[in-house]
Amino acid sequence: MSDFFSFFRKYREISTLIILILISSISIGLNNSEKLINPKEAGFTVFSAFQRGVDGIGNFFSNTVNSINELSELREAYEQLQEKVTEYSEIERNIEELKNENADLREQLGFSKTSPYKNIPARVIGKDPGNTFNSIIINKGSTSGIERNMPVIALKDGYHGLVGKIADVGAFTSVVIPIYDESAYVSARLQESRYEGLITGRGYSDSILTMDYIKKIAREHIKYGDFVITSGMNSLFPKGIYIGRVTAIEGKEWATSLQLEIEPVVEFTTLEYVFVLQRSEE
Amino acid sequence: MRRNNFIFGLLLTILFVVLQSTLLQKIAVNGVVPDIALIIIVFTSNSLGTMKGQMLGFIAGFVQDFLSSGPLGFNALIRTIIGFFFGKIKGKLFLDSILLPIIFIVAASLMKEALIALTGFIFIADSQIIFFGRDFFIELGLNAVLAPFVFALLKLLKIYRINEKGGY
Repeated sequence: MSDFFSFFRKYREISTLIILILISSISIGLNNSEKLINPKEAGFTVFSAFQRGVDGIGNFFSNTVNSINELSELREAYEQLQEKVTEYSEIERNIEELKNENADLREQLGFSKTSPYKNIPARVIGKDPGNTFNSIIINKGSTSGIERNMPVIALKDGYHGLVGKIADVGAFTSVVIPIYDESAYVSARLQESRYEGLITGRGYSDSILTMDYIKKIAREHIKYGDFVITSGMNSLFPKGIYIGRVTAIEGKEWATSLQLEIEPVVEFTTLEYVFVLQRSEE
Repeated sequence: MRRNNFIFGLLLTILFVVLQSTLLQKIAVNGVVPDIALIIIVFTSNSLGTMKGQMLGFIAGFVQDFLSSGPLGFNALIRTIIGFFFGKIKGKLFLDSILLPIIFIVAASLMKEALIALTGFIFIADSQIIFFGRDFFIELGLNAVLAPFVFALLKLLKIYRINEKGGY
């Protein structure tokens, strides 16, 4: 035993390196096993609190700046009102703009009530800290009823578009794997022609998706701009959720199936609000 | 004194891991953020040596794993090795203001990508990680541009003790 300790003292740095590599490797190996307490979820809960904090500070400064701007605008309007009564038309115009803004927000928030799916609204608070993995972090976790593999959608131009699925859940935050991730597979269907295929991502938030395994016979029935929706077959995702539109059709002579390029309905680079669907209400 | 340096480096690295996932996303280039945490790990390891460098990489890597969709331990493994390597060359090279920080960070970014490929190949079945793709080259460019500034700022803080051989 004393030999071991003297060896460790002699090669302290390299021994520590080996121990740290072993811990990391075991941790990666254990990652997929079912555990009573998931260390990744526990750690995510702790450190995502910092993310919420940073997000909160960012919002505080942004709201303060907005408040100052609003106060300044109000003062200007007041001075103008004192000078001329006709300035009321300007105020009416401002009210009209606010009404439009409110209508947009109502469309987002009201989706919860009008949607055919029971859902949990959430806000995007961060993304993966590195560039190797694709993930989106939202501000709702297990305390809000979110569970692993729940589908996530977003409202865009009146369409409910597929965002991805829940991968990890903390107490107050969750990690979403988006459909543009290379590991994401979604069973899909062309809305018009009803042909089925499999959607895969290319790993970039600003890139298109690929739809594979569509029967060649479908070629004459598919048009550019056709919508692709979830098929609901053998999938986590309920059927009928919009995925994207066809932007290119590729059918090589030697291939047995067609390949389509799909532009996602959801704009991932500017995504702010999402809805997590509860599976039982499909 | 040195323990304080390590804790300062660790807190700073963790802060930037969190910032990379939140505020820095707003200035991302094509969805790619610079790896400022990596730059801090390289600087700190090169200032404090192998032992503290690998410990810093290990802890900061684990924090990143908690916030990432990758497997727990993935970043810890990679950043431990990077911390060890840059700790080993402590004091062996004279650290100028521009050239060596860029060379260090380009080397660290290449090393990170190679280790991601190796770790993904060994540990992740049916790994879909893209290696040396578009995002890597954008990140490499951002890291190289930021490296001299981050190194200069860390030097200005004067937290890290200058060693006897003239390096940091």
